[in-house]
Amino acid sequence: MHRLVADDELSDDAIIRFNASSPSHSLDGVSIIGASGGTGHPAVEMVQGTLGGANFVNGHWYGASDAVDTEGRVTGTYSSHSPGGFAFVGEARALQDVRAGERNSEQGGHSAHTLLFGLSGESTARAAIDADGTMSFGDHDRGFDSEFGRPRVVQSPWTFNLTAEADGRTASLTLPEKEAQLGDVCAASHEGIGEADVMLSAHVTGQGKIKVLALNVGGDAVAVQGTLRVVVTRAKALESLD
Amino acid sequence: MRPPPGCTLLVLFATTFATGEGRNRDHGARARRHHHRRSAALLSAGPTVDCLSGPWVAAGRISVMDMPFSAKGVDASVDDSDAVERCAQIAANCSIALHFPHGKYWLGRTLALSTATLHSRDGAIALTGDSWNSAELCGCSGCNDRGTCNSGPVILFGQPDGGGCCSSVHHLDVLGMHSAVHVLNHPGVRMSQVALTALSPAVDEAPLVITNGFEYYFQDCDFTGAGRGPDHPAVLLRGANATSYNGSYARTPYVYMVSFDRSEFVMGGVLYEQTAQLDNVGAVFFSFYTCYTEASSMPLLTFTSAPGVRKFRVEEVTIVDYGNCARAKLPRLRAHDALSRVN
Repeated sequence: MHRLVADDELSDDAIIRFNASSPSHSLDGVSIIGASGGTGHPAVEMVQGTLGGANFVNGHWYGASDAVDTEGRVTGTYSSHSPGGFAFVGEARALQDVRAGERNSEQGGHSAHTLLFGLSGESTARAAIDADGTMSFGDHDRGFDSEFGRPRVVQSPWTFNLTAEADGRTASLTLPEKEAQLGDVCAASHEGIGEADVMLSAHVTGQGKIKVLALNVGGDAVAVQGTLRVVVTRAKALESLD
Repeated sequence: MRPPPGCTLLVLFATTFATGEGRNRDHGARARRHHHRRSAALLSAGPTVDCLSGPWVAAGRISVMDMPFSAKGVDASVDDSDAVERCAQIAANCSIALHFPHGKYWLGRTLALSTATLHSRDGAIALTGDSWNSAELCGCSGCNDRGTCNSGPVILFGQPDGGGCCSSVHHLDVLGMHSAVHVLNHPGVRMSQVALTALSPAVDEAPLVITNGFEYYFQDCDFTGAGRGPDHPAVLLRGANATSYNGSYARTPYVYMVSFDRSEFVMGGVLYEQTAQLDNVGAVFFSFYTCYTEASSMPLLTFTSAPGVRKFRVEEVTIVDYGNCARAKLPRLRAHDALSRVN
């Protein structure tokens, strides 16, 4: 009999390696189910080439659940069963293309959206959630009409005192958020306001800058101490199909 | 090789995927009727050929140890090439299986099985041993004397200009120095309960090498390489046909539809190399069901395309219930135990 001498550790090789001579060469359609025998190894390693339409449903500990490039970055488009549930990897260029085109809300198996939701009997999708966090919504057969970019949260300690008099009733703070743009929707909260009658508002004053205003609308002076949190979201009305 | 005298039979295409067991041959043919019709339409019609009459015709198989062929088949100490080749010719002509009783057979030269060497319509043949008591076909004397090893594969299905279609191998262990089995422009090979071993694969060699073709199926098979890393796989698939395809499944510029079921790859995985230009479709349909690799230093499946190949598209790879037992550290393959199954 052979006496195989093996490392104590299991293999860290990918299950599939695609090493093409051109980046345009492709691996399209991979299903790996119930693979085991290694810890931390990817399902697919794309040395060169493009990967699409892959699904990995494997065990969490010994199974392989990713498609990666030689740098260990996820690549291609795939879905996989992860330790926490499921993971979905989309392709950024395809998302940009589909959002810019007439097929944005098209139902069916060729959607470029990472997750697409629709109802049978309808020609367009009702909702989509993309891998970059963008969510789109629409109505019956009218396509998507509303799009929300992924929310961003900025927070900062902010201590301020407000009087009941007119000249001391407001305070402001400007926060940096590099992706914030004019017109983005902002919402602010402060953990130190409690029962005080203080109104908070936030808005983008310029690229990367969010201004927060606090207004004392009560009759007493207020001392506020704690953390300020602001959520910034890009909202966009889309041209529906009707 | 001239066909031996004897009775005349039409070689029926429908028997070319015979399982090797006479009672099962018709069932196998029926199950693949669609494939056979398609292949038959693409292959040129062959001549009516002679079938040497004998008890093997009724038995549905001819044994290499039958009189007057009398292969030794005991300890692989005698080159049985003559007996095996003659029986192979009769088996092909009579559309019956070529049977190897339990034992060790030394084939001092490559057993070439194709339309060039088999005077059958399609160059197809069924090789079979006995279930649970396999025969060993070796390219080396005694199955371990490397100095006597044939440098070529032990068995070659097909030929450079297209070598027929639809052969099968069942219940055999095949051991060669650099390769056990080559399949060249010969679509439709099926194997079950077969162990293929290469003692020392050279570059561009492997226990099993398939070059160009269509539809291969392996069930309960072992492929044992020498564990030298990614350049020495256990199975090598090559899309290398640079000549005209013209719709012939024997002359595809790729290897298409390969399925492994309950099979093991030891000291190497499966490597696909695309060197020929492709017009549109690429290599499609690779499936692995309940397979595992052991002591391998490479992935289960690797695809490569050569520089200059303009298009290469692989579609539909399915792997279900795959296990990877351990990485190779030291390939300690010894000649005298190379036929052992590694578990």
